[in-house]
Amino acid sequence: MIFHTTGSIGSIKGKLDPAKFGVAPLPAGKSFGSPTGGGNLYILKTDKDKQAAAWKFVRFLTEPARVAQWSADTGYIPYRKSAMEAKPWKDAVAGFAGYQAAADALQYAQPELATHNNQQVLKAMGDQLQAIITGSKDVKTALAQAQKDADAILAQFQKK
Amino acid sequence: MAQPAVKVGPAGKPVKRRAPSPGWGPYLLLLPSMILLAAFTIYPMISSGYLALFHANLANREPVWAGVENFQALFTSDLFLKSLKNTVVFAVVTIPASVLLAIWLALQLNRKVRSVSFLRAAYFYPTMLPLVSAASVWNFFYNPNYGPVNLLVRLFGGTAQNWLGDPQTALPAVMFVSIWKDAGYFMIFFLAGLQSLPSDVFEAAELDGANRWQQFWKITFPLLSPTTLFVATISFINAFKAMDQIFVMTGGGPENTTSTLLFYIWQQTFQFWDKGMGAAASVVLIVILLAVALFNQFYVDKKVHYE
Repeated sequence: MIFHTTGSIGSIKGKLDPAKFGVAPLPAGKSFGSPTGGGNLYILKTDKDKQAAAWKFVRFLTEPARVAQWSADTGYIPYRKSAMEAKPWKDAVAGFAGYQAAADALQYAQPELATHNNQQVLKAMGDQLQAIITGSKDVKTALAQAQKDADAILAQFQKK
Repeated sequence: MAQPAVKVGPAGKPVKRRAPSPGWGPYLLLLPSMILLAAFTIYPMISSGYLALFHANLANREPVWAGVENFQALFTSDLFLKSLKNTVVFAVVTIPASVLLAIWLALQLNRKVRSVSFLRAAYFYPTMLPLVSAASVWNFFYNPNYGPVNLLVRLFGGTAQNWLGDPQTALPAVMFVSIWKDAGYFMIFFLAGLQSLPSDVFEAAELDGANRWQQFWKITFPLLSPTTLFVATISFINAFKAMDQIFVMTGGGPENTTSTLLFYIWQQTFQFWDKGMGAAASVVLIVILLAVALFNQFYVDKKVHYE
């Protein structure tokens, strides 16, 4: 059993007999959860031609049929609802139900944490998570410390 | 060119003979190393010192003058103080351990027995491995489930440990890899040192009835002191630049117990893009290294026996 990204389904399916393995959402304690992640597409403010070309490229990358094909090949969840209706994805789900199990977990996902000094804030949380896992702090103390550290990191951005 | 032995001035008095001026020649010869030194040592030191005085991070588009605020932030930061402490522990443990182990190995292998060249090669072997690959192999050795270290521990009836995941054992486990990696390298220097020792003093000591322990402490160790100083200096540098194994094995965790000064600098600069803080921490590192270098130059060097 592995805890892994849905983006590995495609490559695992290429190596294992799809009839012999399945995909399940993460188990729930008090509530379900689903960590998400991914890349972003940015268009920088430059001259109009470059911006238009970039926008054309973004639209090319996000065409429903192309997204669905990408997802069917890799296992990454289609990042457009319209792609879920496209033929490549429908075919992939019909061929291997694991794709759908991963996509279904999306309903429990939260927006990704995005704040100033994101890396520092994530480290403040990561350090305290480690303390909880190694047993050197109880959950309540550790989370209170994480909040305190994050507040200190973000203090410079607060309106005075 | 033929020249008169004594140059005669206009008034008929001999002109004082001066050594011919070397001109720009020597400077020209020094130039390549001066350029390298200036570009890769002096300039970065000065620019770090300058950058340390600014808030140069993602929160400010242009660096903002900070004065000593970065240094104040450093010395009130738990993470920085912990990293500083870890570096000191790393140095205090790995320097004597690897040096003593190297002397011991050299003494054992400085004799004419059959397997000696094989053993020398075996102990030297870790030196030839890139540190990153050695650290990856040790990641496997320390694996809590199937790693050979825990297999051995279980074999002798001990309890398996999560060596790199437990705050108590993570730093010792990383330090052990450094000692293992360095000892064989330092052994080579001690072997060379041992082989250049004069044999007559040992004969004299033996005639006077000195035992091997006395011979080692009264003759071998003092005569090896230039080697020991050299090796200790390398070991000190290695302790302060310890980074690869930490990056590969622990990433500074768990709970920052393996975060060292250099790791902290890397994290501030290249993970958080807080270049001001990274530069300030670099200044602290430079000051420590300069202090040790001066101490070496003016104190330790006088105590070392050179032939």
